[in-house]
Amino acid sequence: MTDDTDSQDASAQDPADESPWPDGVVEADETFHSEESADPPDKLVEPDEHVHIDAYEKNWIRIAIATLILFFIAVLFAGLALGIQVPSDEGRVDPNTLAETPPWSEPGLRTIVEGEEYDMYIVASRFSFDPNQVAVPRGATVNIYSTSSDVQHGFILRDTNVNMMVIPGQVSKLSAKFDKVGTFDFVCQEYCGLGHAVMFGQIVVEEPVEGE
Amino acid sequence: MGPVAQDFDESFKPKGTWAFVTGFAVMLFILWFSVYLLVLSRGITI
Repeated sequence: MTDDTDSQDASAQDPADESPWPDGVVEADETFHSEESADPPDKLVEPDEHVHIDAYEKNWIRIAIATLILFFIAVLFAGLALGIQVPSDEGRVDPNTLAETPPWSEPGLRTIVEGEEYDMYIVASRFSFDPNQVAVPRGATVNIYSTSSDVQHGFILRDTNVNMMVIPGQVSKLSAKFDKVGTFDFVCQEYCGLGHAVMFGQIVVEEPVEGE
Repeated sequence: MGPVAQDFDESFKPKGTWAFVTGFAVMLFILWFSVYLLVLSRGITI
């Protein structure tokens, strides 16, 4: 018995058989580093081969980036060089006391430079604008200040880039220069209730009177 | 047995994809710049 036990212990510690797995089962590393592979393990896959991009895809990535840059430059040109701006926040006003707060207590047109520049204060409330019609001479620049006394409204002036939200508690401003004689309709473009469809007004651009 | 079909053709050019994506890009430019030019034509808002 003693001899048999010794012989079993000797075979278990045989350095030629260190694998803990049964016969026929090989470790993953042995498979990966099989003798069939001609290259050393550390050179099997080059890092650059992981990020291969097809030539067609590269071209379309370039075109997409160039398009974004082109659009971005076009928007910057319109905004900075041509002066096409989005509405600005000109301040705050309490909608509950609008009727007692100048200049909103008397909305309308105010002359800054006769025939050249005007300020227009307009209050939107369900379902009308106050004022709903003003007249300015051709060539005039009109600074339009608007706010709401109740709910959220909109103000869009046809054939111009004047398009802004009219929000209770906030004064919105946009300016427009009127170089053509005619009638420019403005409407509320934010649904504000049942009478939304009849909420409109006009800016009438007239020929300047001689001598003014 | 007939000839075995190859898995891929090395001379294949994706002409349909080129036409589709080029058409898409051209349409994108036309739509975008038509709106852009309309905004420019309406004048400044300062």
